[in-house]
Amino acid sequence: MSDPKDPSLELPLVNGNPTHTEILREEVGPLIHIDSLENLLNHARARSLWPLTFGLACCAIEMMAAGASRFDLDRLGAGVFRPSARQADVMILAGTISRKMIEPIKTLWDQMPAPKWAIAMGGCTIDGGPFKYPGQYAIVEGADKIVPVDVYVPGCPPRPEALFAALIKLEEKIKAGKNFKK
Amino acid sequence: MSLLAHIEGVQESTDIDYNAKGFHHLHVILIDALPQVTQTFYDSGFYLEMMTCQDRREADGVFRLVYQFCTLGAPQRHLVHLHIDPATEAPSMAHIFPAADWLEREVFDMYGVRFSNHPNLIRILMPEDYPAGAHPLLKDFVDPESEGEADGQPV
Repeated sequence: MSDPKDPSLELPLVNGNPTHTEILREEVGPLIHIDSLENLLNHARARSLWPLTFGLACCAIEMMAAGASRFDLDRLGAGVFRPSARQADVMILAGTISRKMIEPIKTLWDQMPAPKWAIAMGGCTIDGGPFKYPGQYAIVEGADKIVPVDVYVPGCPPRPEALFAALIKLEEKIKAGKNFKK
Repeated sequence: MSLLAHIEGVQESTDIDYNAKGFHHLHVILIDALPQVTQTFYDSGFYLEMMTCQDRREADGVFRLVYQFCTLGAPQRHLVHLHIDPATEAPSMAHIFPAADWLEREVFDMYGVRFSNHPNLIRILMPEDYPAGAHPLLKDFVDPESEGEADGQPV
């Protein structure tokens, strides 16, 4: 059992109110938290990242190429693209986000079970990319305005190797175990 | 062009050099002639290739609706220009060419031109909750949802 006062275990407030888990923790202390077990789970999580089958624009083509045999995303255990958000761990935001796509993306993100991660792939999802100009009306200037992004991949589109690098970075982040406040 | 010669309200019909412009005939018509022009094209086996609009309020005080009708039998492209006052509605042709349904919705979405007798005149490209009266392709458009600056430059 770890220290109940450990700040890394504190959950964020939802709309300024404590969550159920938080109330529970305050009353009975952390339920079960065994560090070595968490580390083991993190290893498992990092090595079997299941992405959501989900593409927004041209970067998705490069994401598909990364999944196909020449590059083979399965080497990282991340090649199992899930057709349902309920089974997915990581959302690869691949492509331009038009404003009309905000609601579907939010819905998909909410449907994914925690712990979950997001990779912003390409210039458009970083800050709007080539479609950003004063007074533009069509796109969202950055995926991080909709979902919390863990790794950014620059490029237009990024090469499959860049997506690999992003997944490896994400694995490092998960193994470090500092991202479990969700 | 003889095809529309009998219709009242067809102001001008010109033959165009296809190799230079990409279409064969240009017609400038009045708003009252549009239903009959549409029906004539339909009866002659044409289809509606595309439809768009130009914001010419600054230059001429009008919106120019641009229709392109094509036929594959003896390949022909007809361009139809229709100038409407910004305050008036254009007649919808969706009941003749179903393809016009979405095209007219797009013109409404982007330019705010309204079409009378349209079956479902709502936004098609912009989000449905986008502020009414904001139409992005107007020359004087300012995005009501803009954050005020981009790249550090005020809009």
